[in-house]
Amino acid sequence: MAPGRAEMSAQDPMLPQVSHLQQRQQENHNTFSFVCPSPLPAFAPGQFSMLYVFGVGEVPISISGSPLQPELQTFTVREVGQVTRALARLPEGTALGLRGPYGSAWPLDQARGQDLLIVAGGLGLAPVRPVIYSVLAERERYGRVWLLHGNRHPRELFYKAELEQWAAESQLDLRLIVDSADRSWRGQVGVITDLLRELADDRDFAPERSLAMICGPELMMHFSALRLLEMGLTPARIFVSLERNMQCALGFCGHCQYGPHFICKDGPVFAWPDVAGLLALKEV
Amino acid sequence: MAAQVGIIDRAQLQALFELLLRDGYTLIGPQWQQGVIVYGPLQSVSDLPEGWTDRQEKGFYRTEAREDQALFGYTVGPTSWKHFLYPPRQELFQACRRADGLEILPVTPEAPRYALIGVRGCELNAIQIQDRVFLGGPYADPHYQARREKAFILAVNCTEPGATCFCVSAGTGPAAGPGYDLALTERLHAAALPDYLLRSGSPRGLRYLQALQLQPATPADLADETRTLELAARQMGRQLDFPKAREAIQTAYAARPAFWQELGERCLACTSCTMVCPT
Repeated sequence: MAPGRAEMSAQDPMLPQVSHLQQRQQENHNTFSFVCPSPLPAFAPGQFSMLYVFGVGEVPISISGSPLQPELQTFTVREVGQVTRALARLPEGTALGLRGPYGSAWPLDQARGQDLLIVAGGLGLAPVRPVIYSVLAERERYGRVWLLHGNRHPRELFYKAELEQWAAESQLDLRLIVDSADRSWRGQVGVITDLLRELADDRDFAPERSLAMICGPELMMHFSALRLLEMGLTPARIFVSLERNMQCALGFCGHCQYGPHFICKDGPVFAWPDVAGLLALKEV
Repeated sequence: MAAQVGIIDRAQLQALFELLLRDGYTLIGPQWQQGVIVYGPLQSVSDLPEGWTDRQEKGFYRTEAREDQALFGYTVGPTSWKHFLYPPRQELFQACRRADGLEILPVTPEAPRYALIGVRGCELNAIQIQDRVFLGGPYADPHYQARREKAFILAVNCTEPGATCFCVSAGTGPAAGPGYDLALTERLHAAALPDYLLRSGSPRGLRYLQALQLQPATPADLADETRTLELAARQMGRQLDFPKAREAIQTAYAARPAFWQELGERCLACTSCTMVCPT
């Protein structure tokens, strides 16, 4: 081993650390979760790491596990591209590279003492799950907690057992909706703004003490935020998590540039006023 | 460290190149290739674009022959130094599959020792902006750092601003610096080859300057240089109000969404703008 390697690795932010894929779990037909023992610094809810699959490449993935266990990083991944498809085929125990954690975090400090509205569309549930773990660990420090989750179809739902358990224990107020359903679905059908409309009529909803964290497709975040503004939340109380194809994750390469922001270092979590104008535009 | 100034002729400029080559520097500088002045490896002064100039307007670039034998008598070409300071391809690490897993081996940044010949004030400023991005943030790029720290910069004070130039508005020219090792001003003479007022800007640059046969620069020479650069400053083809421009860019998305929408739709994402941009 060359001398000074440890020194180098501490200096070189592009250098992944070796970890292993463990506890692989299929979440739905194309989405799976796994755990990596983390050689990296502790993460904050909302941050992401870069995962390196040997011989294939790197991919940015939000950390979806509990920040109370910083020695583990959990990832929930949908098979959509080369690297995530390769990840999906890795058996447990496979070594992979990990670097991070990167990016901004959900504003939990600001949320304490407030009512919390977590609005998640599809796989957007994964980056907010660390928030839920953090909140439930000190549940008494928050007011009401709503988790509004929309998905395309009941078969796309994931974290189901966990969601139902939280709801059953009255830890949070869970509301689910799907775009389209089959006969087995007994819940609501529609879009997530329908859930927000219902919430607006809820006696317990008080915009002046509510803080919203929205994560999902951009269109969904845009309309959810607009709805929340109509419902009386001030712009500074709305947060969204954006996604782009991060390559370096360090603010060097510019692949994730979003108007004047770099999503990798200024985001992925943004306060609504910082991105409101951009989300209204196509192809930014 | 006080800057030292002296005058060298073309032979002494060649001597400087040879000193740099002897010390293991790879010289990178301007050369005329297929109608364009581009940056590439140099061996001698004769590789420089002697007797060439360029004419630039929006969407227009042509090289043209000069009447004289100026070596730096052009504005700036379409290529930039960033190709050398952060090359398009860079090995970041090696990964080896082992029986017990994966070994990730760092790559020690083994940067070439580049001597960048003919860096203009605007370009030097662009390099310093790159420094902010790659070295000044929460993360430093060790590969860029290695190349940057080793790079020797011979700047050229610009006496040939183009029709699209605005370095005076930016406060980055036409005189280069600070941030160079050596800077020269090319002086044209009616009946003789051009000569060069050479100025040191770093201890490293000073060592090279002192190794050359310098003719002392008289107050008249310095006054003449000042005049030449003032003349160049008056020939700027463009002006740019930077505070206004910054504000316009920052508020652009909100103020003129349709404009940006249309621009975005026309963009082919070919990255040509990124390739030619000095930053």
